[in-house]
Amino acid sequence: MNIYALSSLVALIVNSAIGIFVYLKNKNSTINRLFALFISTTVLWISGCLMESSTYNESFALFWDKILYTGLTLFPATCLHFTTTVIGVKKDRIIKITYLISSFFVILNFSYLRKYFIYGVERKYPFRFISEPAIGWYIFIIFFMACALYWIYLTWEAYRASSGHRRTQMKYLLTAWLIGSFTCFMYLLLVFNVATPPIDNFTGIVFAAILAYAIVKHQLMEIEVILKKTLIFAGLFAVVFAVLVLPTLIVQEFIIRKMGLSGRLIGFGISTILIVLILRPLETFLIRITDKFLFQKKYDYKELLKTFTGEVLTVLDLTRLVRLTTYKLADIIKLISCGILLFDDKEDGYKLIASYGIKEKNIVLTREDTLASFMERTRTYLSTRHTEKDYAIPEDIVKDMNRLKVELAIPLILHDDMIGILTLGKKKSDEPYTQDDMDILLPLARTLAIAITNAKLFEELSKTQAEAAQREKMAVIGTLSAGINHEICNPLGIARGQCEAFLLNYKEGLYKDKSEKELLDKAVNIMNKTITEIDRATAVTKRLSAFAKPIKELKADEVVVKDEVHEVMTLVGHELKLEKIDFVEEIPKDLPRILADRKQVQEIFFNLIRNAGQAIGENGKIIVRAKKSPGNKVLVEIEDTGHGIPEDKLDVIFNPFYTTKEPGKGTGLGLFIVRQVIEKNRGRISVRSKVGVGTTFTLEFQST
Amino acid sequence: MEKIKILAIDDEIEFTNMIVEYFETRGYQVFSASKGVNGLDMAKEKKPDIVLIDLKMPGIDGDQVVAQLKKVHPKAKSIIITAYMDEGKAKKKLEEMGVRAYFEKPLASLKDLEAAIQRIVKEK
Repeated sequence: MNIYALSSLVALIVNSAIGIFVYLKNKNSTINRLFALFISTTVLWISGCLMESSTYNESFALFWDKILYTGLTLFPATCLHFTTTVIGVKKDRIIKITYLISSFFVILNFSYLRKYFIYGVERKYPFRFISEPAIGWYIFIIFFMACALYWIYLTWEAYRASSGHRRTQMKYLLTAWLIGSFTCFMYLLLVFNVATPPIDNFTGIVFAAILAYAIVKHQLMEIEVILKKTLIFAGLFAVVFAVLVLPTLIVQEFIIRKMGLSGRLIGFGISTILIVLILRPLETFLIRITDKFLFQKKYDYKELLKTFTGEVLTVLDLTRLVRLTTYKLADIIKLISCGILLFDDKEDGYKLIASYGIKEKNIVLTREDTLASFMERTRTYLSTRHTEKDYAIPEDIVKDMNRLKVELAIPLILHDDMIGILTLGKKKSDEPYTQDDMDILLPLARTLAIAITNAKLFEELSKTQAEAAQREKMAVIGTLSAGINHEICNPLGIARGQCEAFLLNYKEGLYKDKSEKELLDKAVNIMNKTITEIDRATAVTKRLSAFAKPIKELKADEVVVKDEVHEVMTLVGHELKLEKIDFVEEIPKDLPRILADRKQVQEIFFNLIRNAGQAIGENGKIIVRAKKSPGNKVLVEIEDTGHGIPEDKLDVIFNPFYTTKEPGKGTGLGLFIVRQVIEKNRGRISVRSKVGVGTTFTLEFQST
Repeated sequence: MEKIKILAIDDEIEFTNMIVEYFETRGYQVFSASKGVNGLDMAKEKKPDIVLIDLKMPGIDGDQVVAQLKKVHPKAKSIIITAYMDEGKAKKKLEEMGVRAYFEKPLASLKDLEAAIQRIVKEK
């Protein structure tokens, strides 16, 4: 198979694929059907070339020459028909006449009188047979050129009269005609004894591809993109096809050697069967793949909407929300890059807070002479490839856009406030943003602005709540000091007293009767005791300061309830003991661990146990019970024998600033914060109480 | 001169040990108890001149010990030594109950305590 045959083969396959692709794209459209019809004439033409390039048998070549000319003679009529339909001009009579003339040549091509059209085929070149033109051929060429000039003229007129997308479409048509003319010219040179390289086969592909694009799509796309895509498509096809054809060729050669010339037909038959059987499904598959990866134009709008309304916009964590947004947008629309800039008070500018595919991370756009300031003024989206914008984008802004890899920037506006910018980079398919895209992206940006504002407010609220919780904790620690003081001052008192006693005794000569060894033993004993007592005091202060430290981030620990109750008891235990409150712990050893932040669990237990102690006052009992509960839950009960809560107050005890304590003794935030902390850890709290009997708080945690 | 008898009641055994060590060396007779109830029994039995009482203890609290002491051994003079911080309310109340001195742990100096004991013993 020589290069002429091979390139024809590629052209044949690609053009067939393009024809089928366009036809399947919209079977009901006249334009698409006419295009398929018209492309099939080029397919006949190319298959003729293919066969003439791959045989040495003259009668075989002659047969395919007739096929070639069937395509060629029908070409002018179908092409003119297609062109007038695309342009939208009514030229019924002229079309009918051209069909008539084309039909005449088709009949002539197959008739006894063919010699007045074409004498026959001749192997003028080492690589192919070529037709020998007769008088009819020259007449046909004149007819062909007249038709071609006519449709070029019609397209040119339509181009001049049109604007916008249609003008672009006409530009494509003109480009296609130019390339088409070149292709025909190359073929004519062959007939006129000039051995040209097989460029025409490739330009033929480009010709079909541009036309296909012009009618299937109605938006702007750079010619080079089409070329790129076509070449990838053709290359892909050629490779796959070569793999497919190679075994056939080998079989063919083998049979020819064994059976002589008649084998060629059998081999050819095998190839045909193989091609018929495998090529079609393969083609469909490749078209689907190419459509997906190269002609990636329609991403799933439904998926985009579903993902955003369902998964993304409901997220209340700001960082997660913006990250998820950029990631999901890039993933679904298949973008090279995507980013979100939000207004930052500290920077007094728009700061990039989430990005995908943008290398530079610390980008802040101030409000002067930047993309941000430009958008603050215009309040509308900005696209680098937007042709209908009649102003040029200033250079500084282009620089910003390049840094952020922006192709489309959409302002995030809420109540007249531009809170940020959503930047979208190029689509991986290189295609521009269409009206369809804008119809979904603009409302999405508006909703995103609301979601971001919500998340921001929520963040501020949590911060305020966290601060309130910390203040409450410090207040509680303040009231703890009596108990804590006892636990620190006692050991210090012992340590100090021992040392002082020894020193005073020594100084006043009270140890005179003691030997040096006795004295040393005494000193060692005192030092050991002192260290023990100091350690005791240190442990308490360490626990206290660890407890007092604010919690920065919520962690999901596996918490052992028993351990945390003990930890809390090291802080509140003394106080309870001093108040003669018995502490009973009923926690089974095999209790599953709970899933929560360890420090927050401590805080919860601390608050509730201390509250229980205060409710009792003096002499009473606190029972901490824990048990497994169905559905991977653990219940922890904190029961006291305090004075109880009246029924009408049970509803309000979790409200902020509700307190029964004397002024200055409590902030009234304790239980309010306890409930919030529990809920943050995906738990629940409930209470039951009887005046004069006691109160029980029940906590429900998720367990491992 | 007869030895001055001191009874120290405190749940912190190391503290009473320390008191015993210091005052015995200096010629006092010192007894100790770690609970209020035991302390009262001992007061009845040993008739101490001075009773050092911790305010917050498991069982009977210091103030109750002071009250009970008046019944079992009215001559005893009580001194409170406590680590329990208070804003003076309890102190005043205790003084009204007849407590002669009030010390906070840690003691600034054992000398102060000794001086107080010496002074109080001489008081009526």
